[in-house]
Order: sequence, then C-alpha cells, then structure tokens
Amino acid sequence: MMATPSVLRATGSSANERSEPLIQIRDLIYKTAGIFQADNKLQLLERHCNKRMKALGVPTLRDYYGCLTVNPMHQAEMVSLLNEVTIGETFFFRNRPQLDAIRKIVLPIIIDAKSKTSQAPLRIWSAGCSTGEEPFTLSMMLLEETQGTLKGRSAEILATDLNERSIAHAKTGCYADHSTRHLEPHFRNKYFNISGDKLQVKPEVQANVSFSRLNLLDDSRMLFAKGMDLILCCNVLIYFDAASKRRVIEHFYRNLLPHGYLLLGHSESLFGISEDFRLVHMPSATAYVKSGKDAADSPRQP
Amino acid sequence: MSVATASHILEKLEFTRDLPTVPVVLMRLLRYMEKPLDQVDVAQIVNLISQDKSLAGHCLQVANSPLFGSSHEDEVVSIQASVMAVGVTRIQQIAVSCSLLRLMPTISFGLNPAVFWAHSLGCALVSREFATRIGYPDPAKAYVAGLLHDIGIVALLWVAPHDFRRCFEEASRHRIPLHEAEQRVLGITHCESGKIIAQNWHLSQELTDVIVGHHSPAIAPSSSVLTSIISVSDLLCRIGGLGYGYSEDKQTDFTEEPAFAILAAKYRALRPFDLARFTFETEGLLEEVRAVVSQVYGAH
Repeated sequence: MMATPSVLRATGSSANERSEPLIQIRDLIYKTAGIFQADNKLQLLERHCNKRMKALGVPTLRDYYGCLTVNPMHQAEMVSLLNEVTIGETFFFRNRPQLDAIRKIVLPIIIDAKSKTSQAPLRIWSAGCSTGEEPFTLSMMLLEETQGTLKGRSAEILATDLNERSIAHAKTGCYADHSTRHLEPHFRNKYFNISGDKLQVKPEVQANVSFSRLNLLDDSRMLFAKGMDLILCCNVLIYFDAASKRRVIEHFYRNLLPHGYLLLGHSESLFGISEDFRLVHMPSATAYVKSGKDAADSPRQP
Repeated sequence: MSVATASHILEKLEFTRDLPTVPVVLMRLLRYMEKPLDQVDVAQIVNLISQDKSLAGHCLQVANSPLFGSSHEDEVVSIQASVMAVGVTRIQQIAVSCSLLRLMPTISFGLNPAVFWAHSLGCALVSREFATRIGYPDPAKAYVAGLLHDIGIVALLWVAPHDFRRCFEEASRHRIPLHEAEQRVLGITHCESGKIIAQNWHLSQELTDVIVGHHSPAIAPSSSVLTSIISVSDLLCRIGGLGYGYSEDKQTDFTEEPAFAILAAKYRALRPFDLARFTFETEGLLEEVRAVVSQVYGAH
C-alpha cells in the first residue's frame, strides 16, 4: 500500500529540501544586508557563492557559511558576496517596474501634494548614483513629463556617490555600449549624441543633474540635502551595518518633505531598521512613504 | 441601463441551463480534500486522476515544476510516482487546479484564459504560503479557496461574454480593479455571479463566503479569516504582476486594507510582519507560476 507516512507529507518547500546552508546564507544576507533572494533565485545565489568559494578555496556551502559568520574576516567576505549578488554594475533603465511606478504613480501624487503648497521645483536625490546612469535615466524621464505630469514645474536631481572616480565619470556623461544596452531607440535618439561606440548624454539631460561626492555617514554634510520629494537609494544600504543604516535612514527621513518617498533597490527592505516610513506597494515595486495620514499636520520631531 | 443589465445577467445565472456543470473530478477531489489525511484513500485518488488522460498530463507538468516542491532529481512520469514525490495533499491541490482548466472558455473575451488560470493558481499558492506563515490551521483549505475565489468570472464569461468583455476593456483602459469596472458597467460583480455558481455547485459555506466576500471581507463575518487571507493574497498577486493581464496604477498600503486588519487582530505573527520580505518571496513564486502556466498552455 502506498500510504506510508512519508507519502502523506503535507508540507515542505522546495527550498528547504534543496540546501540547508544555502537557505542559511540567504537568510544571513537578508538579516545583515536587507536584500532578499527569492526561492527562484537560489540557484543563482549558489553560483555566486561557488565563485567566492573557489576564490577562497572553500569546499562546501556549509564551510562557506562559516566564512560569512565565524571567520574573523566575515564582514569583508559578506561585502565580496554582496558585490557578486548585486553584480556591482549599473545601466540605464535598470529597474523598469520601479521607473514605471515613479512615472505613473509616485510623480502624480508628489506633484499633486506640491501644487497645494509651493511653486518650488521637484527635488530628487539619487543617493549612491555610481557612474550616473540612474540620475540621467530619471532626468530623461522627467524631460518626457515636463508638460505632462510636471505641468511645467522645473526639476532638480542631486546625484551623490562615495566614489570620487564614479562621480568624475558621471560628470563626463559619456557611456559605452554596455551600460546603454537597455536604452529604447526613442531615448537613445532623442537624448544622446552618438559618436562611434560612445554615447554622450545631451546637455539638456545633464542640466537637471548636479553631481557631488558624499559619504552618507557624514552627518554634517547629510544635513544639507533638504527639501527632497523623492530619494532613490539602490543597493547602497546593503553594505552598511545596522547602526549605520539607521543613521542614514533617519537622515533620509528628515531630508524628505512630508509627502516624500524613499525607494530602495530591488528586493531591498527596511524591516527591522526603521518603522518611521509606511511601506506601500505598486505594480512590481515597493516604496517607503514618509507621511502617515496625518503626518503633514504633525511632523515628526528629530 | 446597468440595473437592467445586472438583473438580466442574474436572471440568466439563476435560470439558465448554460451554466458550466462542475467537472465531476473537481467535485470529487473537493470532497476528498475535506477528509482528514489518515482517512484518505490514496489509490482512489490516483485512479480518479489517472483515468482522465489530459488531466493527468497537466498534473504531471505541474508536479514536475519547482512550484510544488518536487525535490526529486528525475522527472515523475505517472500520477502514482508523483504522489510519492510530492505527497498526496499536494497532488490533490495540483489536480483541483488543473481541473479548473476545463471550465475556461477556449476563446478570449478580453481576459486571456491562460492569464486567468495563472491568477487563480498564483492566488492559491500565495494563499497557502500566507496562511502557513501567519499560523492559520488549514493552509490546504486556503489553497482551494484561493484557487476558486474568482469562479464568478467564469460564470460571467459563460452567460454574458460580451458584457464581460466591456468590463475587461473598461478595467484595462483605466487600469482599475476588475470588480470596480464590473460594478460600473454591469451593476454587479463577479462576487455576485460567483455566489450563484457556488450555490449551484453546492460548495461549502466557507468557500462560498470567500467567493462572495474577497473584495469586501468585512461582509463575510462567518468566514472572515479565510476570506481575508484570500483577499490579501489576491491583492499581492495583482500587485506582483499576476492579475488579469494589465497592471492597476495605484499604490496600496496593506495596513489600511480591512482584510489585513482583520487578520492582524487575530494573528500575532502579523504584529509586526515582514511584508516586504513576503512580497519578494511572492514575486519569486509568481515567476515560477508564469513559467508553469506557459508550459501547460504551450502544450495545449
């Protein structure tokens, strides 16, 4: 007869059965970095781990989990693994569902809120902008919406990064094929000058963006980025420890206007870091909103 | 106009013989699933599914996908083997899901049949996971409820396909929830048409409550917990890109959803709950659903 207890197994997930140490590593990454690898990404995670294991000469995932926890160099190893996980690269129109959510949902809400209070320009901060693809993507998107959602309102984008070389590259506005591979022809033709295999961002796209080197942990300089409507901070906080994350998030909170939005990278979460923001869901994207229903009336004191 | 349309459709639903009859296999599976596990006759279930070659074929495709935790290295090629591989509870869930395929019209009236099945299957899986996570005692029941919650759409497709198409077009054009467009265009929603079909099929009171109340969980007090689980899961699926084939342009704060409040009042696990993480898990799950559905429909 077939009805043995094992046959009647009612629960159990593919993930748990596949590899216990891999799940531990996934959960450790989420706990320390706040970025989550869903079950269908576990194979990819395993490949990233294998690459690190090869570099370290570590034979099994269980041993590698040890490298990420008890080994004296475990924090440095976590950074190396995170570099693999996030691929450490950026390109134009990288997170399309997020960009769609900004354009179709977030911007109209922000512009509506602003129209009641001020004529001030829309202010967006790309925190951790790397070589500039993200702020220039936003700039192009805003140019498309100048007469639409923005209703003629001007816009400013502050783009900051810790890495001086990245900022220097961003300021040139000059890109190769690789980071422009997801550019639609419409954007490529309208907003770039093409010479040979180089694409140069046109001046009108650069005009909205100001680049600056900034350490997000530099409390005194963080105080100056005030009056933001929207902050994007993708794949940056994952490298910070919990206390530093909290500090940065508190700054973001203070720097946002009452209706302001904070958007993180794909599968990044603030759970356990901050309860000040409201988590909201949009099609295939999540965001953190500063205001509760009555936040505009009673702003939170720092 | 819409009042006339509404009463016309309800009348058709009440009195017509055009309603889809419930597939025999589906009804028998639903009844088996209400039994405690130790009273389940595995051989009977294997026979029931195996007799229907097309159903068995679809079941094997789904059983061999990562969705149902098939930890086996080799592909299973018979229902009997798949029971060994994924367990009898899951084979029943798979079979109920696949028998739903039978109910869909073969042509699209706006809503693509594959998209509808993907939404139902996705909602079933998310409901089961969410139920497990919060500590609801019967995740298998949540699965079936998630699977059948939109059965009213099938009813509308049968008795008023062209009216339904207008609803679908209205919803996708304005990127609003389907039930809001139905209310606007027809004066009734798939919750009301679902109620009639649920009674027609003699579904349990709990399932009927879910079908009627998943867009307004507070009005189904007797089963409000199960209804709320399905309501939250349905919303997560629609947000996660597995809705009805278009995206609803709005932002959702789950803590403001009545369904979430009903559950938070009852389950400690939701105070607080890492909804961001659950959303990312759901996204992964839904990607797998998409892959399985295109496999099943590709082979149609």
